[in-house]
Amino acid sequence: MSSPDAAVDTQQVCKLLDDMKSSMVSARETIQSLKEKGPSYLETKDGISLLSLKHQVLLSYLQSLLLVSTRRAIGHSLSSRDRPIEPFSNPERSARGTDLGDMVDHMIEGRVVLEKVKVLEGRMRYQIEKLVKASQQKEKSDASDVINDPLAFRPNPHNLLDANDDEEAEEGLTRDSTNTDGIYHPPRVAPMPYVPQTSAKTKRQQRAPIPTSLASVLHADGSMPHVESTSGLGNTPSLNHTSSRAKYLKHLSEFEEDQFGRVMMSKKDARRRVRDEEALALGGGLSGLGEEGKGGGRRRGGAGGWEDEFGDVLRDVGRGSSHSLGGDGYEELRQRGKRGGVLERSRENKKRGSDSLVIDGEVPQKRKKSRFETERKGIKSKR
Amino acid sequence: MADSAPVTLRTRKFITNRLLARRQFVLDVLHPSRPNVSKEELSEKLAAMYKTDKKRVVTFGFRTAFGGGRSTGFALIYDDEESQKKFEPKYRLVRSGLATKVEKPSRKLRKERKNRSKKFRGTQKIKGADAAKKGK
Repeated sequence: MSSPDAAVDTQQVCKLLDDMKSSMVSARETIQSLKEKGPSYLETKDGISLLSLKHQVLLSYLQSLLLVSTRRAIGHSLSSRDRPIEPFSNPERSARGTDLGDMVDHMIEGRVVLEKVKVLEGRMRYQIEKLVKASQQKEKSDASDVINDPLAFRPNPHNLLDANDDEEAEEGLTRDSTNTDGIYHPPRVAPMPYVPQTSAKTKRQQRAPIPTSLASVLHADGSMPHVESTSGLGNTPSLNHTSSRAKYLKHLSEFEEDQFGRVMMSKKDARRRVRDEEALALGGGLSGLGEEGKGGGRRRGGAGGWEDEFGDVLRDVGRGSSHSLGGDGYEELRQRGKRGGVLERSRENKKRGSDSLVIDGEVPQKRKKSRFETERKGIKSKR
Repeated sequence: MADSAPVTLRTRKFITNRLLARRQFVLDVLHPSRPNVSKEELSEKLAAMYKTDKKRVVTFGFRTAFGGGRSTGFALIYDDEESQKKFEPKYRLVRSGLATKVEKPSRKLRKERKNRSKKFRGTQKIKGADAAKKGK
């Protein structure tokens, strides 16, 4: 060994030793603080809290991972297991062995636990965030900053109780003073108009309909993976199979498969079922018995979800061409000059009288009498 | 008869029904370029798949999904002929040829005859009913 190399090596060794010493000191300090907090801090009588569970599980997962990789490097087989005798569902199951297969089992268990914890934490996220914010706020702001304090405006049920007691006391007092004559005085209530509830339909109409953009949120399950539709059309309500008819058909087919036989249906129902299943297969757009489709009425949309998805575009497309026949805006004027049809002319004649001269178009003509009218005149003259 | 396209059979909800001595399942048939697969052909294929006699296989309730190419129905495979004759409904036995159809006069005719015979008593019933019918 040459002397400069030796010097470098010793320096490195000394540095390493110092690092080790400082890390050991810091670890010792944390252990001391834990010891001082006492056994109550580490008590698990009521179970471990969800948040500390995550740390423990992750730590053991990392340990198992490290062991698996090192042992595999040595050459131990992954399938060697030392299973305990009891089945998994038994809560008194003894601990697993220390073979590689057991480590893998341990990791799988840890991963499942972590995923479930994540879901639970998602549900409690709002509360945790509020508490964290509250604790942070107490450090920063003063007591006068009431608006920023998230826990400042919580409801106080005691206020409501006191109000009730006061009112009763007051009413009791007034009653005693004025109602000693024994006559019944009805309570003084402000007059309100009576609006009768006509039917269940109006109740449904009065409740505001759920906006279609948010309708899918009701059925969205955060734990399930996101489903893409194969047709590429979006989140229209018909495509979510939210119509009662679509749900009924789905339920019917599942029932038939469970019961191992087809359901007896009348011809009309069977034909309707086939037609509705076709419509569903083409992309939705069914409306239920009591439901109205987007346009109102059953057969407006045509096949599939065509009208639902492109309804506004199609309505725009048709608007220009249906304005006028000629297209130059003078059509109405031209139509005014023309002679009306037979029906219109007969209606005009009825108003003016049957014998008067009728001016239709440019030439005034004497009106041709029909056979009925001549006979009618004949009867009168006979008498 | 040669198949124009290969037919795929898929079984779902397979149950071994020991009480009725049969195996029952939901059958999905994929027939891409054919209109429909006949029940006899299906029972032949199933008999080959499950190594039974083709007469033990019963198929029914097939409905083609919209667009063609796929139909769903039910199939049963009985263990032996006696259990099949015991448990199958009459109309399906007639379909598979194990029973003959009972030819009865129409329901209305039967009821009319019964009502006519109500007017008579004893052995006159038989004579009376037929005579009235002929007189009519």
